[in-house]
Amino acid sequence: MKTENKQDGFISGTAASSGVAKGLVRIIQDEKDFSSFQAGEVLVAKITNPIFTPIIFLACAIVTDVGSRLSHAAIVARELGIPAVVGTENATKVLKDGDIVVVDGSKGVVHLLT
Amino acid sequence: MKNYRWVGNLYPDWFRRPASPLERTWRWPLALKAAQRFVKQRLGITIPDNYYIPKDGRLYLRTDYYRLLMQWGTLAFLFKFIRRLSKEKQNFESEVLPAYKALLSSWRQESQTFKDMNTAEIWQWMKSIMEVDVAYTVKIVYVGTYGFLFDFLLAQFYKRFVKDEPDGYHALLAGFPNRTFEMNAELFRLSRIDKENQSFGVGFPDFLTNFGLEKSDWELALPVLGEYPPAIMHLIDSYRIHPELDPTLRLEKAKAKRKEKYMYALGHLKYAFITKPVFRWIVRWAQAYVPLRETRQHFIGAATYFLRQGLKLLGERLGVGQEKIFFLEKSEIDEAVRGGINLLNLKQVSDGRYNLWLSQKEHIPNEDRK
Repeated sequence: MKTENKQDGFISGTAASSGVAKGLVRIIQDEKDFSSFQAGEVLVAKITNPIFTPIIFLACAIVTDVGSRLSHAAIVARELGIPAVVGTENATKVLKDGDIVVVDGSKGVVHLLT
Repeated sequence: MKNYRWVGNLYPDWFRRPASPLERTWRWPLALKAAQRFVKQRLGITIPDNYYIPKDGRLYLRTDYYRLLMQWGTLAFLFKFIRRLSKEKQNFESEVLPAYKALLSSWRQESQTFKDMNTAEIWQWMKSIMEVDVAYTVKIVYVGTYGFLFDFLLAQFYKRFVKDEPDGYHALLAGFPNRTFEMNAELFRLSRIDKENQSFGVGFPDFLTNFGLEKSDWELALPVLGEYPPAIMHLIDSYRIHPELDPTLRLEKAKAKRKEKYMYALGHLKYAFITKPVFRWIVRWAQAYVPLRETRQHFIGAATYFLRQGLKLLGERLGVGQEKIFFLEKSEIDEAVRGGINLLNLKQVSDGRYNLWLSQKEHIPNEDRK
């Protein structure tokens, strides 16, 4: 697993659910941030667990700092058929709200467009 | 810390944050003891007493697994595990989960009478439900091991014997209703009802009752989903704007894709005359257990919400504060409820520990290791 910084234009992690999606980044630290999430955005979080489940259903892709192919985010993403890249180590630090990214869940890469 | 590893590295979804002193001195010891008893009884394996240690608020587990294997119980372990293949699913669905749901329902009712109870009664009530809750949590966690095992077996089999992309097996495990789906289907249903309508007025509190117990970690000090009604309202509004995200339609789509993928895989097996029955067997059990793996996540430690309600009231009555009670140890609350401790000192202690907890949050073990 390798994580590049933002200047390199991509972040990598574990490919957890295949597919490609493009969207705006929304960083969700905890449930207090749920109200800022808009359907169709890319959910970027440290980890996800059951409390995140409703947000995952609204997301077009998931990116997490921590996790494996067996973590909750990965499992739910596969069920929904949306791309997920987990275990990036620092996506929540490198990305910021409103960034446009392309999440490639097959290769485990998040491309930063802006 | 030789032979111990932070559980956050072993199982990244839980135990990420440092535990509050109350979590560490109350639920942890009870849950870890309950796990020991369960594994001994169900699989005949003895887990040593020192299999875990807390350090800087975090949980570390032993990593010298070979010691666990050096006992008679392990000889029959695999046999016992496989023998219970059909029983565990049935046991979870027809006994464990219904019984636990009934308990949650009665705890909800009882917790509504907190205001009429004295401090000692509330604390006693909480201690008794904690004992029961950890015993159920262990059973609920255990059924997930079958889901993880068959997910792994299917992945390995698919990669080696099906002429398809390695991740193709994901579609075989999707499209089954589970607790996650039910929760979102209910949010979607509410989004179709006008907020002024009486049935929305009934449906929204019902949603909080049924699905509001979701936790963000295994931790008494952290709020659960039901404590954020505005966040839930926002989710309903999102579905109102985006009806195309209807969970039922997505489930149906996944189900159709699953059936299609199954037929595809059967037709693209290498050495089909041998591998076909094995493939069918693995898929059958993977599809039986994988939905349970997701459902059980929602019921792990679901009594947290009721315990938090009682503890917050206790914090108020003891003068420590609703949110600082979690930074006392169990023995200190025992003592305070008995009236054998200076409450002013107690407040200072909890304030100090809260600050320590905040600083511990900044030091994540695997980041320190780099």
